[in-house]
Amino acid sequence: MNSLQFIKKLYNGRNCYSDSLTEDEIALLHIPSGVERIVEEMVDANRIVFLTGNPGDGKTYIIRALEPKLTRKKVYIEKDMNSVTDERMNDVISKIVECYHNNKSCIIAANEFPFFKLIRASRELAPELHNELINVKKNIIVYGYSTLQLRRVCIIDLNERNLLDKDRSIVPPIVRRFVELLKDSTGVNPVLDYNIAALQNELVINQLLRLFNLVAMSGEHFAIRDILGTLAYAMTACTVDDEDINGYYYDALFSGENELMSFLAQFDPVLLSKPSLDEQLWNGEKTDGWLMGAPTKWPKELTDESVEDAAKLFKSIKRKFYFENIYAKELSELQPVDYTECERILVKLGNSSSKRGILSMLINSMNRLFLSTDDEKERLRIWTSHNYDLSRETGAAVSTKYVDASDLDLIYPAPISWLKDMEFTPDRLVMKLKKDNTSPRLEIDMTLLRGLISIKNGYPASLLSGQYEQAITQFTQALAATSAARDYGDGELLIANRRDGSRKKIFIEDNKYSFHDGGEF
Amino acid sequence: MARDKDFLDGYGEEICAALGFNPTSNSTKPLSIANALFRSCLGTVCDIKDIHEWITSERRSNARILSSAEIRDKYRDILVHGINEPVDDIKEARFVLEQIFNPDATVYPSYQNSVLNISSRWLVRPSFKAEARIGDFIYEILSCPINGKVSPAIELIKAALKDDDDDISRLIKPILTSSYKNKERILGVEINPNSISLNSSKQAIRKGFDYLAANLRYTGQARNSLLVLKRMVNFAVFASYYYLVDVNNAEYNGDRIPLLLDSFSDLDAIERASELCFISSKKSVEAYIVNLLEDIICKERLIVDINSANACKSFINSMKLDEKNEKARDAMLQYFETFYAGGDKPLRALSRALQFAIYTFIYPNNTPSDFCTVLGTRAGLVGPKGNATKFKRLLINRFLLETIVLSTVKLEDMPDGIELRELGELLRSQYYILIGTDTDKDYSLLDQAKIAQDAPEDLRGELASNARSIADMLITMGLAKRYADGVTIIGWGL
Repeated sequence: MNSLQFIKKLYNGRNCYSDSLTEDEIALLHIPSGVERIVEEMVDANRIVFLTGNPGDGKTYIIRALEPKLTRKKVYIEKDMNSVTDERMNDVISKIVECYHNNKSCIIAANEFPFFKLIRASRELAPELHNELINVKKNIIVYGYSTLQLRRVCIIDLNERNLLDKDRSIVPPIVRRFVELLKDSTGVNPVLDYNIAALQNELVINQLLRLFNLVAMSGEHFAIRDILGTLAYAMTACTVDDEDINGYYYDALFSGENELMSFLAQFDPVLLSKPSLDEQLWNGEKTDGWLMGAPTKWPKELTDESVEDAAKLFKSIKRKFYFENIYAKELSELQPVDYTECERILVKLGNSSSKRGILSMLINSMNRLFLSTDDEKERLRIWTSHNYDLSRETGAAVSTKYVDASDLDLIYPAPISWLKDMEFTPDRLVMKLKKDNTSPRLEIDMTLLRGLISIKNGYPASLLSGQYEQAITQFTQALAATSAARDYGDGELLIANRRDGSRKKIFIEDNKYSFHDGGEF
Repeated sequence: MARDKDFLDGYGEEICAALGFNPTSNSTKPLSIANALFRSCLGTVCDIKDIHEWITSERRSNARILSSAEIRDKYRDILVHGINEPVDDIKEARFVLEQIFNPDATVYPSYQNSVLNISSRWLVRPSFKAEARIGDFIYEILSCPINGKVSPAIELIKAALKDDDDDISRLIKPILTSSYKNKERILGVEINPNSISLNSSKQAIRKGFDYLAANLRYTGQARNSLLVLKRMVNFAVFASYYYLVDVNNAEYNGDRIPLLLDSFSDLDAIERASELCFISSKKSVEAYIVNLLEDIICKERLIVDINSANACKSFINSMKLDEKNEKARDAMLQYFETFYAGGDKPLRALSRALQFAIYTFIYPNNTPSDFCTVLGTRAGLVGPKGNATKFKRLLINRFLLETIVLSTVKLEDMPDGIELRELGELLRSQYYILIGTDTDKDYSLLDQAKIAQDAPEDLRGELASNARSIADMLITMGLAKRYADGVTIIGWGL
């Protein structure tokens, strides 16, 4: 099999599965990953290594890449817990326990569900192992410092690995590797030659990287199998015998059928619109800035023959512009604001002055969930609503307390110290009280973060799913029980009419009412 | 004894007594059930006439509603500015207070029929008609000793009610201290729950409450007293619906009615099958009443020969009826003839005729099956809401789904979790609820209940999609996690 055939089969084909690859093929695909180093270290320290994650995350691949060393050390390996029947489960656990007590290393690769079954079965059979497993599992990802001491068991959860991590993205090395491998296929297909040339260009690679960054910000997990398949298809789709497939990498990237490509489709440049640019691209007036040469044909020229063909060409030129034109920024900056802001927030969170601004924005959006007209940014209001009849919506809420922004902190998760070399992008933020690790926490996943950004940008709070309102209510209610919750002062209470966004102040001091609030605010 | 005056009235009362509560009024709302349940758990009630006076605002014009000027004069001791407090401000404040304390439309100008939004013990009032004994019925189940212990739900409810530091309760603190009330606010009530035996339906309810209490503590929800109260009442309302539907199986070995939950995913076959389940559940209540009436008639031995049509007719003819119900006699005779001619045995035909007559003449607007619809809607089980919807189904609300799951999964299983398939088995065995986790099993149960045959298209295929959507809902609540292998695990903190 030549390199072209080999790469083609990485997309939804035989080569998706490392079991079926020869040692040479494994070596061809070998892109060094932080996880391999971690596994090696753990094996050297005779630890019990559980390598878990989703199918296609590269568990078998990692084991195969380290196989010579593991064989030399006579490490007990269970490559695929999927193939372990319930009857054999006890046997596997016994072997793990033997290694556990005799200071020997072993590696168990298990998809998430078989891993769950193994943990559950170990509860009865090996309580000591079970307890350590549970303890380690809960501490793989930490906020701040962890006091967990690594003992015998080490879990490496590839589900937490983000190979599209901005700083350690696996995309450029894979593209470089494919370009190298495909060089022996030049001259076979002119579009393939074009793709190989284009994907050596720095701007193209940067734009590709930016696009994958947006995916990384989604909080979704994509396996290495999907990433390899996507890039393989983008480069080699031109060699597939199908007249519907336009094989330029920039088109192929948005036309394949794996999970990653389906997700990428929402960032397809054809969805971004800048009327003046669109007009230029349609009429063939944008002739400058093309790194790989300007298009030779423009949509306007096809209008008389077929509008459909003209539209198809327009889409293709727009994508080409996005990747290959030095003025591409004017298009790429139109990518969905909520995604790009998520990225900015995660980048800026390390800076304390930026952090305060982010916190204020989040507080304001959270306040607006309950009262659409609320402008408060420095005080997170604790709203309470209560009713029993589920066929009715609660229209009113009360707030007697708030938590000041200065008492709140925003943190993001990181892998525990011994997993620090793992490629990782935070997929959530946590809001909590400052200097209090036992305080209530609100996990702000990327969907919630995007929702709160949208509220800040003027979208109605009602678009946010009810589950998030429930989560925010539970968080603020839990905060109400802490010493950080402060009364508004002067016995002030707020009552919000959520239907019309109005509110009323009531004052209670020394168990007496005063209703004069000086008008709406 | 109602029977001395009117047999139909008497039978109506006996049905309610046997059932344990009165499924006869659409004005029974979750708050009515809450009030009775909370009263029993606490053993105390409060006189809340003053709070009622305050929050019944002038948005309605009714002679019984005090004007804000009257409120100002009467309660000047709890106003910072006394009689100088502007009336318009009081008026506006009462309007917003009403929004907080009357979210479920349970407050009327008449104090006798009103119940306020209960956030703490200060708002639990003495018994009133719309309670329909449902709260007492639930309390009897909770207080029945199992292994010498009452349900932990009682203690949890009590603790939540005693916490009056929540924002809602804070709003009424001045009223609680008003010197206007010169008698004791808190009154003790004697709680003597009937000693009952738990049939299988009651056992399922009890188990549900016990698990729910344990899981509320485990998940930390117990720290939020208002959430505890809402969750417990939500389960109590669901439990009442479930009991109505399941009691025919528990007491008379009737068919169990599968409750296929629709995940609101636009699945045609699921929608239809769920509609049919809802219809069957209402029929099950009616079947129970007929069985119960047969039982009562046999036990009272007022009919010479229950196998004789003539004896049954003569019983109808001689039955004592109040003058206002006299017209029911002819109707009953007609019903009897129709059912008897349709092949029913005399006793069954008589029981069905009585059931028809009771719900035509005694409770004309509130049959138990109507009650099922109302109760189910308020519990978040039946939908879509609104009178315009012709066919209702078991359209599960997220909050109720969470409540039911917390009432089903054993505390010990929460940390590690159970598979969605296992949750499906638990729901099936505990409540006969189907979500579609085991396509063959669920389909065969719907088939046995003669529901599958009338559902269009690919019911079997849609069952799996429905289970997936239910799992999606649980995932968003933090009660489940789906692995890439496609398996979903139910638990907490997974």
